[in-house]
This record gives sequence, structure tokens and C-alpha cells, in this order.
Amino acid sequence: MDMRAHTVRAHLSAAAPQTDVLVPLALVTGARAGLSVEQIDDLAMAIELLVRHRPRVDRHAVFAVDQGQIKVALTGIDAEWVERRGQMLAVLVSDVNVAPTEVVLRVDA
Amino acid sequence: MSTRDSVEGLVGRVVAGDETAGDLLVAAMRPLVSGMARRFEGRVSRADLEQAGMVGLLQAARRFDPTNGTPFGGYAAPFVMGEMLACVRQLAGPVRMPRSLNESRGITTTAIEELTATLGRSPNVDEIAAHTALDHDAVLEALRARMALAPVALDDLREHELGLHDDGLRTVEQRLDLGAQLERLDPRSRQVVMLRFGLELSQREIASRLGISQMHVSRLLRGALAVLADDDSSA
Repeated sequence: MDMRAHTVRAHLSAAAPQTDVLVPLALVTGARAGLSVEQIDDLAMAIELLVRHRPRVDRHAVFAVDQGQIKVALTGIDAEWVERRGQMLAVLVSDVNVAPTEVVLRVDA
Repeated sequence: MSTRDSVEGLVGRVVAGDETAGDLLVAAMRPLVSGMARRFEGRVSRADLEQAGMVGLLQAARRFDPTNGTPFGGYAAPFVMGEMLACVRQLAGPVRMPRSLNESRGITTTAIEELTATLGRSPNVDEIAAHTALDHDAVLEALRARMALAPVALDDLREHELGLHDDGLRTVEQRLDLGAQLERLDPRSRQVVMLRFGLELSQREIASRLGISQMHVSRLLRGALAVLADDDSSA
């Protein structure tokens, strides 16, 4: 794991308990970004939703914190499924950007 | 003065900040709380259950609106039940929290409820730390413990006590396009999913609408999303 000033990067193997790692990271980085408790909870749910859908793949995660904002990039996602669940994800976070190999969640405090 | 009038009068005094009234309210409602605690006795101690129930009772008192005509006992029951379920999950579960962490969790949970009522929005970690005098890391630990609690067990919920009839939700159900997946959820979780993702109500708004705590809404949503994520997995 690489934790620079405002960015946390994690590489998670397919066998790792991924949500057990990513949810605490969402909590710590979300708090640093100034998110409310409910926003942090929603971000954690969005991450859990994505990871639980495809739980057994190698995955990279990047949590980038800026003043009043956090972006979480996750690889190893099923882009087609994310598109179908876009409405649910959009309720949980401020913005969802889906690319073929990763999804980026953004939450504004 | 009837018993109901005196209880609701006490609730009004609690809301106004009368600490003596809080003690009187707890004493007046003890039979209700003790009766509900008996449902779970054997899994955790009666004392722990009653203590948790009283927390729920006081949460309900702070939110109670006497103008809607609902007796306070009926309004408070879901709050009491929610806190008792949380107590059972915590104390009867395979992993027990250290006492200090458990205390921090309780303090943090109470602070979130109070700050949400005061601010009209969900507080952030700095605000909770300032309100509780816990340091930032202690609040984070408490929040982590709060999030780690297991989802509500379906057989612990008494759906008929909580009011599930809302015809408007059928339209929302169709708009969500989750199809048969929603049928995999228990009625309570299905309703919470529809309110959150169909009507786009916040957790706080759902909690207020259903008369349960925000933490309870969060647990229901988390459990429901685990089902929805797994259900159509193609991985």
C-alpha cells in the first residue's frame, strides 16, 4: 500500500478479503475529505456493491482525497453490470464514471 | 390525567431538556421495555437488553411529534426493538468488542443522533469529535465498529409492527428495474431499497419516515445490497 499526502493506493489479490480492506480505507479517507458520516456510509456501500459483484479478481484501488472531495477508482469491475446498476450507484455517490477497465466514484462533501 | 397524557407530557419535557423528566419517562416505560427484552432473553442478559432499550426509548422521545396522534408507546417500540437487536448482534455475535470501543461506539452513535437533529444533516468526523471530546482516531474506530456490525437477521424483524403498505412504492419498484431480485429480499429490506434508490431519500429521511434509527436503515441497506450484488453475479 502506498499512502502519499492525499492518495492511498492498494493492490488486492483475488484471495484477499477485499471489502474488509476497502471499507476502512473509505472511512479514513472519507473523513479526511470532510464527508459526513452518511456520505461515508454510502460510499462504503457503493464499494461493497461493486466488489461483492465480482469478489474474486485481482483489483487495484486508488483513494484520492482533495479538499471536500474524494475519488475512488476500482479496477476489476464488470462495466456492463455497473451500467445497469448506474441508478443505484448514482444515489450513493455524487458521480460515477465507468471506463472499460475501471470505475471511478466521486463524492463531494 | 390519563397514563398516556402523563407519558407524553414527560416526552415533551425530555425534548425541552428536562433531565428529571428523562428519568421519570424511563421509569414509566420500563414495563414496555422489559416486556420487549424478554423476547431476546437467554441470548444476552436482561440488564444489557433493557439498557439498550432505554437508549432507543430516549431516541424516540427526541423525535416524537405529539401532533400526529400516535401514542408514544407505539411510536417508541421500533426504536426500542432496533437498539435491542443491535445489542443482541453485538453481544451474542462471534466477535465481541472491547468495552472501551463499545463505549466509544455508544457515545458516537448518540452524538450522531444529536448532531443530526441539531444540524439538520449528517455530521462529519470533526464535528463528532468536537461534540464528544473523543479524539479523531477514536471516532474513526467507533464508526468502523458501527459499520462492522452484522446486518439485521431477518427472523429478528417483526414486519407487521413496522408498517409496509405503500402503494406508491410499486411504481418505484418498476422504475428501479431490479426485476425478480427484489423478490429475494425480505419485505422490510425491499421497502428500504425502494425508498433509498427509487425515491432517493437519504438514510436519515428513511429513518424518520419508518420510525427507526439511521443506523438500522444503514444495516438494512447493507444487507440488501449484499443480496443484490451476489444475486446476478456473473463473475
